[in-house]
Amino acid sequence: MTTHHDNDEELAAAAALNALDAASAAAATARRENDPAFDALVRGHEDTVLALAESVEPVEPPASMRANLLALIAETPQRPAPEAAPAIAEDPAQAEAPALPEATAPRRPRTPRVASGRRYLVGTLAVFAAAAIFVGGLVLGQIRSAPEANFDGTVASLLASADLERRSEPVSGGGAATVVWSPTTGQAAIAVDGLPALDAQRVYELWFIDGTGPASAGTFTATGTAGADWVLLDGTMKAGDVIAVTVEPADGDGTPTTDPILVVES
Amino acid sequence: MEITPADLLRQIAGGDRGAFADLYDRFAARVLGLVRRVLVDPAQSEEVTQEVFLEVWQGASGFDSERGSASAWLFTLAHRRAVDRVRSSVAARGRDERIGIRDQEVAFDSVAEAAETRVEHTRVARALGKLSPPQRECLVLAYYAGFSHTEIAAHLSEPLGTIKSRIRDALIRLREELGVIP
Repeated sequence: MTTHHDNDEELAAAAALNALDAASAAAATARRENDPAFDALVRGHEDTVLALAESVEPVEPPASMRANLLALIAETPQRPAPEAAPAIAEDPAQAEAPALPEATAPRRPRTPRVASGRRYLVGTLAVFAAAAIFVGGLVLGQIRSAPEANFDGTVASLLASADLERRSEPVSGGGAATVVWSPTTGQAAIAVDGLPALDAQRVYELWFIDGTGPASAGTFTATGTAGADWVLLDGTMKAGDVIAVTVEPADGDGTPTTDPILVVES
Repeated sequence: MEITPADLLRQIAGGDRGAFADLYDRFAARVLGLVRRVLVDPAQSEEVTQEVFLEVWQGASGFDSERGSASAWLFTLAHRRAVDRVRSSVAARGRDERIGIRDQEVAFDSVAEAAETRVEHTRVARALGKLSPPQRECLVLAYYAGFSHTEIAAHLSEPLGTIKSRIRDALIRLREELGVIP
């Protein structure tokens, strides 16, 4: 006999209906990965929610959609199976994949999408792969426009970690980000590229989100120009944490007030 | 032997474009129907549906038949994308109008074209009819209007805690009425 806290039942029902706000949804997704009992609660609603979906009247799409999609997939690379994803090495064939037309590119992904993020960060990713192996001045100097102050010794040693994990994502509102972390040390850093500059009253704020909620991991500003800027996250990342970025008042109180523009699941 | 949607997703994950076309032919109208129920706007709905199928192509390897059915995976993806879009600022126009449309549709929906859908529609409509009106309203706002629970609380001027427990009760009740074994 298992019992569940009322809050878990409520969280599971809202998660099954996609009725959680973005930050809570990210936390719930992370929790499902690590808490089989909670995952079972959400999955217990699967058939009910599926019935809601399947009871809706179908709408025949125009024939052009089928033709568009068949043309698109012919040149769109697929993501490898999760367990088969290479930790460092990039497949050169995928890195050279053609960019998708903007109109059909996914807009607000909630799951890591290494493949589609790649087109924004091809140059940066190539440098990651190299930097992880050769932490030397020559290679580090190749990072596009990266101010030296941003690429300090801590980030360099993190990039050299043998167990380095990495996710690349487009950012809602423009730009792209790559998050790297070491599961062993719990250190994490983010490279942002092309994020819009904010007015003086607002900053970008980083968050570690776990089953209990968000914890601030520091703030940063962006110049609005192309080129990777590095920021080391404050605090230690735990297994299953979600990393998120929101736009917050510069004098914020350490709780998120807007929907994340980036959500990366570890 | 019949090729199941799960088989198709596995073939798609292996790069099989024929399997992708087959899956599209089986599900596109139902995916567009669901997306359009949430988004209402026809052009945006087609755009999101195309995104959904492109995501199916790119991410089919993420489907795990141990963790649920292929149709649940696909409709969850489609619903999530539609909800993401409806909560973004561009689609937020005329939200009250969309709620009005949706309330009517649930109560008085015209006869669906596909017999399969008609049966499912009747079954679900009957089960929804067993819920209390406030429970039904919460479920409809959450699933078919894409409201988050905080948006529902604001819309109905009720405490968030009340809405959270009402959504839970409504979904559990609906599951019982549908005779689904959790």
